[in-house]
Order: sequence, then structure tokens, then C-alpha cells
Amino acid sequence: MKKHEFLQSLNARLERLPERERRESLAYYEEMIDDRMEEGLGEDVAVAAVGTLDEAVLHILEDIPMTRLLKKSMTPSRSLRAWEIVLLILGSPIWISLIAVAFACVIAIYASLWSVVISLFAVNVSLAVVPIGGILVGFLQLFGGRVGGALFLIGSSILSAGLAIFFFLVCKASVWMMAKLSRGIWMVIKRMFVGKGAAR
Amino acid sequence: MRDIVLRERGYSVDNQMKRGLLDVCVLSAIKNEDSYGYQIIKDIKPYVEISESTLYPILRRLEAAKMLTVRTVEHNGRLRKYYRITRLGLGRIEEFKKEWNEIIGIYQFIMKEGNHEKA
Repeated sequence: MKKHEFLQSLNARLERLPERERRESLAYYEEMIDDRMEEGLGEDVAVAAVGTLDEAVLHILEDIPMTRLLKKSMTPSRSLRAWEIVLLILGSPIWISLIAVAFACVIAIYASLWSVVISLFAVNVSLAVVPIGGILVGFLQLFGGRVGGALFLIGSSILSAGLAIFFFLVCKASVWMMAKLSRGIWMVIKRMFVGKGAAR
Repeated sequence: MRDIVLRERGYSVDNQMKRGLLDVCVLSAIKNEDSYGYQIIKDIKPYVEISESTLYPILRRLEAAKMLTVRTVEHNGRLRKYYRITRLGLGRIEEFKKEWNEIIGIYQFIMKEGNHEKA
């Protein structure tokens, strides 16, 4: 790929980024490619050496705060006409409510997923705590002569303790998955603000 | 095989830790004299893998944290950005050196415990 093709593609993928960020990102990659070409590398090789477009876009996006992306997406590219302003104001009860509902739905789903994780931990704690009482009562039963009942209680308690250890691994994995999901959702939202080109 | 599985699950050098380490590497690369992006990569690469894409957010983050300043210089008919370390940046390097002594202590403890287990 030639330098101007790479930069044009990068520019297209970052089209909805704030102007300053887009300009600085392009200048950075242009400088990197030029430096490698100055050292004697061919243009195609120099472009390949700076990495793929996907990597470049991903790292640029990661770095830009969400607030700046939001501000850019909410800033109109041209000044609004009078009828557009009137329509915005008259329609505000509808679009504000829709945005609030959409936002509430996303938060509710996210909170529900985390509540599943918290429930898993609650079950884990129960499985870990129950054996303590179970073994105590089991031994009391044993001293009281109820061997059958004691064996059952002690056996169940040991089983519960074993399940608690296994379940802890499940809880740990669920937290890790939720953290990855959260990061993935955040990047998807960021890409929504930057545009389809950047999401490729 | 286990290492491949661990790496796929993101358990290679912890991402946050690597980020912090790379920040200090970049600061060290410009500690003695101003440098530019490609030169910084060439200086660091023999020690740790770093790409242009990785370096870019690091430079921006360090600039935002006022650990380095940027100036644009004309070079062979085009513009090149040079990065200069600040007092804050120098302070971060010194802070890292102190933190690293602690990490070495933790590493030695872990290795010692590991040897006891084998025995």
C-alpha cells in the first residue's frame, strides 16, 4: 500500500473524530512513514512497517476520551435552520424520553449481568460457610451416638466445601468475562461515535 | 502449550503493568536528549516490543500528564515532532526505579517460596 492510500484510508476511518485529533493522528503516521523511507525503506515496506489500519484506529480510539467523542458527535456540522431548531424544541419531549429510555435499558441490562455475578458469589459464600456448621453438628451427632446422621452431615459438608472451591473458579471466570465484556461494549460505543469506517 | 493458552486469555505481561513500563521506557528514551517518534521506537525495540500504534497513545498520555513537551521542527522539507522530557517526567523515572526495587523483592520472595515447594 502506498503512503497516500494508507493516509487516505486512515482519514476515512477517522472521519467522525474531532478535527484536531484526526489531524494529529494523520501527521504522526505520515511522519513515521517518512522517517522509515528516509532510512532507505521502500514506500510499501515503510507503510507495512507502521502496522495495520485496524491497529492504528484501535489505538487512536482508545486514547481519545469519550467526552470529546460525544462533544464532536453532538456538534452540528453546519448551523441549524430556524425550522430545524423549532422542530428540535417541539420534539424534545419525545427524543429526550427516547434517549433516556434507551440509556436506562442499557444500564438495566448491564446491572442485571453484574447482579448475576454477585449472586454467584453469594452462592459461593453460602457453600463455603455451610460446611462449618454442618461439620460441627455432625460431630455433635457423632458424640450423641447418631452415626448415620453424623456421617451424612459431615459428608455433605465436605462435598459443599469442595463445591465452594470449584464455584469460586466459576465466579472468578465470570468476573473476568464481565470485565472483558465491559471493555468490548465501551469500544463498540466509542466506534459508534467515530463511524462505520472506523468500526471495520 | 499452557503458555499459549494463558497468552490467549490475556494473561501475558499484565496489560496495565506493560503500559506503565512502556511509559517509563519512552521517558528514558528522551531523558538525555530530545528525540522523535521513529528514533524512540528504534531505541526501545531491542529491549521490549513496541509499535508505532502503541507509541502514539503513550506520547499523547505523557504530554497530557506534562511529563514531556512537543515541538515541531523542519527536517528535510517536512515537519518532524521532537519530544523533550520535563521535570515531572524525570521524577516519574526516579519513582519507577524505587518501585522496581520493591518488585524485585516480591519476585525474590516468590522464587524463594517456589524453591521451597519443589524441595
